[in-house]
Amino acid sequence: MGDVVLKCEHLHKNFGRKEILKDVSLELEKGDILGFIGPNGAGKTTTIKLILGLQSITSGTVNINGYDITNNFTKAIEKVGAIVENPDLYMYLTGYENLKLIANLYKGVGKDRIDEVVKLVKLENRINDKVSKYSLGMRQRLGIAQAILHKPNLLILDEPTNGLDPEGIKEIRELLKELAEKEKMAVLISSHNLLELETFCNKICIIKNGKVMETNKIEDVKNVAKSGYIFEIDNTEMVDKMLKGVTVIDNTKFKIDIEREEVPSIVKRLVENDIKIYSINEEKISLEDAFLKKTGGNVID
Amino acid sequence: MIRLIKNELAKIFKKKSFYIVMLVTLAFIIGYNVIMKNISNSENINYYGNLDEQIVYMEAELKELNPLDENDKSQYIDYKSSLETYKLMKKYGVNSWQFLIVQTKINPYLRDLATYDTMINKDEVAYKETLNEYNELISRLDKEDWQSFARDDLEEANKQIEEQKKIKESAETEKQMAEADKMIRYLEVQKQTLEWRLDKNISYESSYYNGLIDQYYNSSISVIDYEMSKSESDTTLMKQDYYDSLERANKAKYDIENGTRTQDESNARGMLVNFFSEYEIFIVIVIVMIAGTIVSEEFNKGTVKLLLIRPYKRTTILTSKFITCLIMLAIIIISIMLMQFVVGGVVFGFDSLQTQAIEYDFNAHSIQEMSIASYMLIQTIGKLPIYVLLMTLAFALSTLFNNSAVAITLTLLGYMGSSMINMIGIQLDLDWVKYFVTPNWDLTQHFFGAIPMYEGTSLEFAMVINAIYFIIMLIPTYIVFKKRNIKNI
Repeated sequence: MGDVVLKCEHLHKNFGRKEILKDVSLELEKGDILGFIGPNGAGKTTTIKLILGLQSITSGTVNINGYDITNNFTKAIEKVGAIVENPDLYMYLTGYENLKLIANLYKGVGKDRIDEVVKLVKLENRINDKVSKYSLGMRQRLGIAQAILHKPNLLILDEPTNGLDPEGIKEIRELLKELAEKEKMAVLISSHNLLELETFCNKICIIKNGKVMETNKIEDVKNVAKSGYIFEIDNTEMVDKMLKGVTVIDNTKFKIDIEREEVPSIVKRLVENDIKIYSINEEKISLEDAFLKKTGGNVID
Repeated sequence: MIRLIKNELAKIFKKKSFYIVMLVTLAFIIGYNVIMKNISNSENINYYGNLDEQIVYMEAELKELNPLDENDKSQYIDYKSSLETYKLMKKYGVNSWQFLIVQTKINPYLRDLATYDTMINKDEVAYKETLNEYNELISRLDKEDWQSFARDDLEEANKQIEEQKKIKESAETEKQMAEADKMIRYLEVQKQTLEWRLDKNISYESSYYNGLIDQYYNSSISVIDYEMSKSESDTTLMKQDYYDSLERANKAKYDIENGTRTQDESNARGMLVNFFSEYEIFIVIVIVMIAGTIVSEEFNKGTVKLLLIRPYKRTTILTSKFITCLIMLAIIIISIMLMQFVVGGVVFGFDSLQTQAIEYDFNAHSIQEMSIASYMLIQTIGKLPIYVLLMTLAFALSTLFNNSAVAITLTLLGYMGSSMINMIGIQLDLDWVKYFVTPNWDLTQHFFGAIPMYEGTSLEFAMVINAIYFIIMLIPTYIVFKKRNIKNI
């Protein structure tokens, strides 16, 4: 087991009488990329704000690098970089001036580091333009740049792909992948869009109505709904007697939950029984399907 | 903390709005200086209105009147003497030294002459005598010899003083004695002004020094009136008037005796000395604009999140913003002052700035001289509580309500309403108004032993009240900022 970077235990948050978060616990180790997934209004942003000390915690603890966020705020937040909600930057300043302001607040973040980060997020050509002239994608990238400027070991990104077109999403995803490898930090990314996370997260946390539904390795979530194969044959009347674990879809199609290695033996048995096989397709389960199965749709109280 | 303050300053100086307001201020300063210069060039506006119009009017009216008719008699004398006076004024010009002589010395003769017109059987001998005296005066007017009039007056004053002294010696009641004393003091003032006129060559022609002679005379008369009729029931307002006259008389005296122009407001020095009364509104607007947005704008635009997730306590962040406002206040005051210094110098010339500043010290009963720089410093220190408190109010409102518009508007309304509160307090004689901040935040009213607006306030009292209001505003601001949940935007 690696070093624990972020540990949230039994977080509760009430706004008046309304319970926004109910017993949320999270843990991130060095090198983890955690996808924090939930529908809109599930409590993702609130959780992130509690972690960052932007809102008061009703009960529970947040511990970053061994420091408690409420009792030892400055120590705890020192090695954290974040974007919360939108990348809200000073629109009347240039990209470089924005980064300079952030760099000024940390010891040892100089011009070299700013240039390095600018190159990393590929904003070299536009860094001296006013942020008000940036596209949303460029602002997201500048937001990421300000978050990683001081070499944090925990990066928290709240919906970093929100409002971007598919091309922009792809860009950001590639950038984050590169960053996670290069800068070697624990990353927490929230999103309501599963597809964009499944390819590079190694952990996943599903939250719904302020409650954590599932925290696991990404493969485990996928296993919730088992994969299988769909066979197309001339007649499905006999198959459920011949094979175990068969779901008949219609006269010519059935589904069977098996591993890849078992496919040849199933084919052999069907052929032996004089059944004509027209096609065999693997049924892939995406994270999204697993997610929908888990949450059973979305209800916001 | 210093890093935070540096950042805050950088943010302010990158904003266009700051420069726009400062540019508008500069434009105002230039305009104001140019206007003042033009006014000073066309000094002494003829307060008699249009003399020509008056003359035509009088002539028309006189045609309707019969001097021998008992009913028209008094009106005839009025119109006839006025007409002749106006004609003479027109002849010599309203700014000439003769103007005053015509007004004070020749007018009575003209009235006498007009009176003879209304008599059916006038005394020819007496009439001739008056006419001769009148003609002699007119010939003296043409000789450009104003000193002779001053000398005559001086002689007359001396004579009267002797007379009054005799009356005093032979006075039987205290009242008579006091009356004579008062007369003697009046005459001494008059004698003083006449001696100055002759010594310093100040003619009756309208000029800066002629104005000062008038100022000295009028103020001194007020001072004597107050001192001679002193009673227990004096209100603060009367006392303030007295102090005001005392100050004006002494300042006029200083200038006349030293040949300086400290009371001249239409030169680079005068404009600078009056800096705070002319440009206070600009200082207030700019600092309130900055203090009213420095916190709320970050909340409204969401940038506060960038700031609050840095390794600094919230208290530190708020303090650095407040200190930034204080630094900006200093920068604003100094730069507007510099603007006036440079613009005033360019428009009027820098020479006048060499004259020292003077202030009448009511404790020492004497004029204190100081350099313009130290005078400005004293003034700035005295006025500083106004700006710091208004700034703190805007800062507090902006933090508490997260709304720049509310913060700026309420603060400016408070500033504008402050003089109203003070006036109401004085007029209705509400003693408790002195515990408000507005009668206390201008410390200059306590300097040099002057009488403050409210009785019972002092420099120490004012500073304590100011400090209390300052702290009352800041405490909730810090508590709210520290505890605030950053809501979704």
